[in-house]
Amino acid sequence: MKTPSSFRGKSAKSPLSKKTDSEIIKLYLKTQRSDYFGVLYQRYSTKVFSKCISLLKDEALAQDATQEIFTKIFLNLAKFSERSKFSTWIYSITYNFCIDFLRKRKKSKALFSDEMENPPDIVDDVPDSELLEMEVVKLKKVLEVIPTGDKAILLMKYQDDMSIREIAGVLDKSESAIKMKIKRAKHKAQNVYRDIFPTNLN
Amino acid sequence: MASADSNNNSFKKLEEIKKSQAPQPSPQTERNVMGTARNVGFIGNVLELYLSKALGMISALFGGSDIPADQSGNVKDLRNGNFDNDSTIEPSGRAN
Repeated sequence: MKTPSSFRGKSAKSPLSKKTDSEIIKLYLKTQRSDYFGVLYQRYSTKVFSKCISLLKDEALAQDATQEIFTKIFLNLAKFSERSKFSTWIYSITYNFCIDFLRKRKKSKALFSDEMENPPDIVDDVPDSELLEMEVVKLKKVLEVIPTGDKAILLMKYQDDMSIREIAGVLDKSESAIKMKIKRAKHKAQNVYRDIFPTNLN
Repeated sequence: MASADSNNNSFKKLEEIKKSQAPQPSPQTERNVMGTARNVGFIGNVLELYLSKALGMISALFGGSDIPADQSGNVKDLRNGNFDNDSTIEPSGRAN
């Protein structure tokens, strides 16, 4: 039986590395060989771990979360229907897990700005370009300050290119509710940006 | 709509930076995940191999037949003394 460390060394040269996610999943479902799942782990573990750290803000928790997320992925692999990209499916499970975890842990604290006692009134929609063209260092700072739910929803939309429908599926909300959450998250990000970097006001 | 082009998307640039700086999940996490995958795969294979036999045995213990349904019709005929479809007996009545 292969050990993970020997597998790690082999994965880059293996012909499996040329196969698409979909082909690997089919091979795994056909043969049930854990090597195939190992390839998927090698492809996505760093990204999943990085997202977990970003949302949970604790490396030890992120390690546990990564393990549980991959166990979930493994147990549900047969249910993956290819209606979305495999990466999107994995990230959905990741966001879902982290948001659920934070909800259970911070029962009283709002995860999204529209769940706060006095949600901000929104008049105008913030143009996407204002967020997309923000300096990376400043965007990083803004994402560290806004509520975790708002951060997650902005990452789903702008980093992982998830559709409104896919985000609605992750958060178990209607599409119109998600549009409103995105609007509020963008608004919150813009306000935080203006608070932190007042000299950059347009 | 978000642009897919990372040149105009600070979120994508941030992801790239984080990816290059992010620590890897620990080897222990990898061992645990792959261990689970191997164990579940092993249990799945064992069940696939032996479950049908075990069910057949349980069925036989309770008086059922462990012969597949498509063959059970022939057995019923033989039990009733109907040998018309039995290829083991020649028309002359002599067994092969």
